[in-house]
Amino acid sequence: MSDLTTQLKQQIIEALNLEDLTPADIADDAPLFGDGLGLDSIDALELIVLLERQYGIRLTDPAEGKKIFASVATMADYIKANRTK
Amino acid sequence: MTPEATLIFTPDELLLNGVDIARELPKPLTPAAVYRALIGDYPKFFKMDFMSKLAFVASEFLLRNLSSDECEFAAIAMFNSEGSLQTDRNHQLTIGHDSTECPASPATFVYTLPNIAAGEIAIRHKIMGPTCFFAVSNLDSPTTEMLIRTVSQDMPQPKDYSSVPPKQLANINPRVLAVKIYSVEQEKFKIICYLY
Repeated sequence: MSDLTTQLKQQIIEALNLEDLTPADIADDAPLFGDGLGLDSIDALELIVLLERQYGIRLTDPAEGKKIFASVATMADYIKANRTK
Repeated sequence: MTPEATLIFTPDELLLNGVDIARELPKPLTPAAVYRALIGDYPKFFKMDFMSKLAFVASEFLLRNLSSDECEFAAIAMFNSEGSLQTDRNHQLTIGHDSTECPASPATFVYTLPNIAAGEIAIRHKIMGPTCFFAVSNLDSPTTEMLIRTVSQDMPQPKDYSSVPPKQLANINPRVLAVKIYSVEQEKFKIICYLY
């Protein structure tokens, strides 16, 4: 598990108030929405804010978000390629 | 009204009809610990606020053995004395602390309505009957019992639903899940659920 992946999981837990979870509870490739972590559209908004606030990434295309937020692994890959801070 | 089943959940015990079904778990009990040990198939649990987690866990043991048709025709009546005040306070702490486009937390905002807890139970068990949440000063008053009775007498009957084959209707007894939340303090929470 990379440092970025672990950090991202912790940030997701804090942003979404998943206080009873730890980074170890979230599998890198588990779906964030639907059956995996059970997130919904409200949470997607939180993740968009997280990307902008923590990594300087502003998402403008909603269709893009569906791929980026598929799992922690896909989020981490996108952050590595696009972060500005 | 006499309940057909009762569940009491505190940090010290999880009593289903008087039997502690969490006696093997370390104390003090928490909703998350009981979820992990005895439920564990609903990841959305971790998103909920504390009151919803309490209600979700407590109701699970009364509803999990009902059939899907029985759940469909059930109703939920919830009671506490302070609405969603605990989450309201938590949400207030997220407001206005930075200048980003999202200066408050949508994740906590969702739970700043107390009846969301009833909704979480209804979604989990696919309950289609009425759900309601009453903020009352005394959870054990005759008024509370009157409200439960009113809900039970005002429920849609199975014959009102066209989705169920007529031959199944005779076997369905519409239930009311009454949930009384006495405290949502982490160290001394108390919730009692009744299935009528």
